Amino acid sequence: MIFNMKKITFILLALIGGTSFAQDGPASASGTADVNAVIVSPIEINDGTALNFGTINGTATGGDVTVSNGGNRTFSNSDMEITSATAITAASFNITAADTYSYSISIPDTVLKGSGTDDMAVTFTHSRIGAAKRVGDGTAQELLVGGTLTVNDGQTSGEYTGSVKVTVAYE
Amino acid sequence: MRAIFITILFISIISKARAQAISAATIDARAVIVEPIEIAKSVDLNFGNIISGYTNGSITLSTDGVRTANGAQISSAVPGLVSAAEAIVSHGEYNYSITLPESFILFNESNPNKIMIINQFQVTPITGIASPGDDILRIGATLNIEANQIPGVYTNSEGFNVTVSYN
Repeated sequence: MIFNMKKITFILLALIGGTSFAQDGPASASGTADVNAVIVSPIEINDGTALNFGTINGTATGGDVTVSNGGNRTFSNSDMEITSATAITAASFNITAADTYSYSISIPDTVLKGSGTDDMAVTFTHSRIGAAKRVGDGTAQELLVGGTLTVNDGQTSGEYTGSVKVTVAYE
Repeated sequence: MRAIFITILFISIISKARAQAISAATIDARAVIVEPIEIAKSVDLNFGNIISGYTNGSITLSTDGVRTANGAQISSAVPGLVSAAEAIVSHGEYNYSITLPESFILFNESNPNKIMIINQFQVTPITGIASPGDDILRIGATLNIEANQIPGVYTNSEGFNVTVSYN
């Protein structure tokens, strides 16, 4: 009988011990996660040099004058060709995009305006055709822009100007 | 032999004395041991690549890992590593609460005095995927970007704390 009581006492103590462990044990826990973000430099393009179609002979039947990206001028109507008073140039821009980032180039069509009402349409070409050529490297990359000018029949003589707007954006 | 006899007698007297001094009653004694609540991170919070802008902006990374740009720009072609944070909570099917930080600071790795602040933490618990007693917590937040934020990798090696507590 004496030994039984000893045993009961021991079990009771064990129960109390177990309960107190649950109370002292962690009722809350914390986890830690890292946070990462990468800021990429914005894409930039500087104001370029002019695209100059030069001096053109205004003929009864017009035609197209094309300046290549390399700055060479060609005519669809050879009668329009005369020696230009000014240097023929393709436009040149510098694009700076972050290393490995690809970007798009957009050059909307425009018109050249003179003193009269007969505007001349211009479409553009550029030297970075193909996605592989539109990947930034963190340094300035040259963009050459040529175009095709459509001269109307009996185009009024005079000086015509317009502007080419190049937009670059990360893809 | 004599010494043993004396010891047994002593215990017997003590027990008897207690029995006389108190009245006896019977109660059930029960104790339930609950597993401690645990949380373990499985995925970090990654905002990916963000393009520096000329105005202030923010990127909200939802708990399902989708980025939304507000006045900032992200590159869809080169998104970088993007993920909502994930942690696994082992709660033994007991109710618990989740505590997220108010805000957290990220430092530019190569220019530590340039910082970005994260706030508006949000959490979505996904219950019982592995077992009924385990939840996955998905955690998103909003990254605030200043105008002309200096490019670079921003992080904070201390990490942010998520605390879970039994209710």
